[in-house]
Amino acid sequence: MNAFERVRAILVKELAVGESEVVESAMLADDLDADSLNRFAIYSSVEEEFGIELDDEETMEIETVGDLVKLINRKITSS
Amino acid sequence: MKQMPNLEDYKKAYREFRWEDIEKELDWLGDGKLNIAYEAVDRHLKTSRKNKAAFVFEGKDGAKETYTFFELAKSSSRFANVLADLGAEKGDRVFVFLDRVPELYISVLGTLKIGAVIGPLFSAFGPDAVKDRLMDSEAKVLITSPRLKNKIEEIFNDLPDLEHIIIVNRDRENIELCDGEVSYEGEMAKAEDDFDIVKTSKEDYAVMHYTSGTTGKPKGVVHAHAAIKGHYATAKYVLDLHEDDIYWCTADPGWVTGTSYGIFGPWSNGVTQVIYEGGFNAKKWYSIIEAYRVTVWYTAPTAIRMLMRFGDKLPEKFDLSSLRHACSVGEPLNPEAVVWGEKVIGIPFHDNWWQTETGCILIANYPVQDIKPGSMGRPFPGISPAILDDGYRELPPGREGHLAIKPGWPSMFRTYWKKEDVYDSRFKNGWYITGDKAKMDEDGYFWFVGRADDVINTAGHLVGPFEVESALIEHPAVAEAGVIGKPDPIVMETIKAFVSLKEGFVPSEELKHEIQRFVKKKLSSAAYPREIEFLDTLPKTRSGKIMRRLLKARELGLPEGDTSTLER
Repeated sequence: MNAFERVRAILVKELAVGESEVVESAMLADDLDADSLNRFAIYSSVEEEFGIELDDEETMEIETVGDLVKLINRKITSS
Repeated sequence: MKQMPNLEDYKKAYREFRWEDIEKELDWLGDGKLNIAYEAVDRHLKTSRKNKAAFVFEGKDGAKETYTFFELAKSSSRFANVLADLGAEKGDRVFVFLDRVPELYISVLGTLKIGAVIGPLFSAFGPDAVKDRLMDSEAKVLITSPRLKNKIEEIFNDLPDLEHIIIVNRDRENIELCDGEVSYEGEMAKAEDDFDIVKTSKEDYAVMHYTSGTTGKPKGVVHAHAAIKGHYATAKYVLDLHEDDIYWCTADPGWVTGTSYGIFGPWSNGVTQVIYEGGFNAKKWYSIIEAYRVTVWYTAPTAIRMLMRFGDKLPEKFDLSSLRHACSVGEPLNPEAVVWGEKVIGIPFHDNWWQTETGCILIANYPVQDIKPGSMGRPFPGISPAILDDGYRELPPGREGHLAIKPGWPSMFRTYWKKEDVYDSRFKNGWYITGDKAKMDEDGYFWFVGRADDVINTAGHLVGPFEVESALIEHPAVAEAGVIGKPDPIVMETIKAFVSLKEGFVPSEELKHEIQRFVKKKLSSAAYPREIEFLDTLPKTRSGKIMRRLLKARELGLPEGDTSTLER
C-alpha cells in the first residue's frame, strides 16, 4: 500500500468515514468532521504506522488529506 | 505584585454569604426585572467599560476582530431587532448552530434581549442530534452558517415549528436563500441598533442546554434569568476575575461551560475575554496565552492531559508568565495534572464541579486555599451539598454516597423542557440528587467517586448509553446493542458498543466502520462508539433488559456481581 492508502485506512478508522470520502483534497475538519481529539488520535496513529515523529508546528499546517500525505512522504524521504 | 483574590477568607465568606448581596452588585432593569444580556453587556455602557474590549476574536484563519462592550451591545440590539421583525417573541425558542464566531455571541445576547430562550448547539452535532433538539423545543428560529446548514439539510421538512433560518455568511459564499431563510448580514444592515430590552422577570426562561441521561433522548435543561446571579458570583470568586484580567475559556458555547463561563460570567464582571475559533492545538494554545497575555484560563481535563502528552519542552518556548489563575471542569482532574500544571505551566489547575442542571460552579478549589489534588474542592458560599445514602439521608464524612445539593440556588435549573415528571424525580427528601457519587473528607473537601447511573463521560461530554444504543439498532444490520464507557487515559471514557447482528449479516471490519459512520451521522462526533465488538448474543435479564453492568465488568475483568437475574 502506498502512503495515501495507509493514511486513508487510518482516517476511515479514526473518523468513521467512507473510503470514498477520503480524497487528497478533502479537508480534515470541514469535509471529514475531524475535531481536535480526532486529529490527536490521527497523528498518533500516523506516527505509529510510519515510524515517524510529527511535531506540532508541522501538524498545525495540515488542512487536507493531501497535506498530511505530503508531510509523511517528506518525513520518510528525509529520515 | 501578587493580586489579592476576590475571596480572601473562605470560611468567613461561607458563613456570611447571602445571595441578596450579590443581587445588589447587579444593575437590574427596574421594577425588579432582570435580563441576563443587560447584566452581561448593556449595563457597562453606563461606565468606563463602555469602550473596553469585551472580546478579542481570532479565527481559525488568523483573522482578528475586537468588539468593545459598546459595539457588542449595539450589535446584539441590532440582532434583537432582526428577531423581533421576523416575529420572534418572548418565550420563543431560538437555537444557534454556529462555529465559535462573533455572530454566535451576538445572536445569544440578542435573543436574550427579546426575552426569547436561547439554545446553543455544538457545531459538531449531526443531523439527528440537531433535529431532536429543535423538535423537542419546538424552536421557531435557527441561526446557522451555509456549511452547517448543508450538514443538517435533511431535517428541515420534519420541523413544523421552525419558521425562520438566519444564515450567517462570514465567508460571503455564493448562496441562494430558500423560503423561510434570511441573510444575517442583510437583515443586520437594515436593522436599528437601539433596542429596549424586554423586561423579563428573574423567573422567565432564558437559556436551554440539552443533556444526556441514562434513558431516553437528551433533555432540555432550562435556566431562568436569575441564573446570572450564579454566573456573576462564581466567575468573581472561583475564576477570581478582576477588572484588568484577560480571560480565556476554551469551552464551546454549545456546552453550558461555554455559555455560563464563556459569555455570562466573565462579561457580567466586565472582563475582556479571548475567543478562539479553532479547536485544540498545543502550540496554538500556548501561543494564544502568550500573544494575548491571558491571565485567567478555564479549560478541561481532557485538554490538559493532551497538553501533557505533548511534553514539557513545548511550553518552555512560550512566555506564559501572564497566567495568574487556571481552572478546569468537565471530569475529575487527576492529581498528576494538577502537579504538572504547577511544575510546567507555572500555576496549578484548580478543579471545580458543577453540571448543566446546576447552571454554575457549586464546588471548587479557590485561589486562597490549598488545592487537594484530585478533589472537586469545597462548596461555593451559599451552596449546601451533602453525601446521602440510598435512602437519601445524610452520611458523615468519609462515607461514599449520592452527591446532593440543597435546592434553591439562583442558577438551579427550573425544569426539563416538557418533562416535568423527570424534573420532579431529581428531587428526593428535600435534596437535588446530582447523579454523581462522591464523598466528603473531614476538611469539607469533596471527592468524586463515579456516576450513579450508566451515563458515560467522554472528554467532558455526557453521553447516554441509551441514545447510542437507539441509534445503533436503527442500523439495518444490528439486532441488539449494549453500550458502555471504557476507561481512557486522555478522555476519561471512550464509548464501546457490543452488538449482535441480524440474520444474514456477517461481522467484519467494514461493517464496524459502516455502523460507526451511521451512528456518528445520527448523533455527533462525541457520541459514536470508538470500538465495536460483535457478540452472538448480549447478556440480558429475563425481562429482556441488556445488562450493561455485566458487559462492563467482563470488559474490564472485574467481578460480575449478582447475576441472578441473567437470562440463561
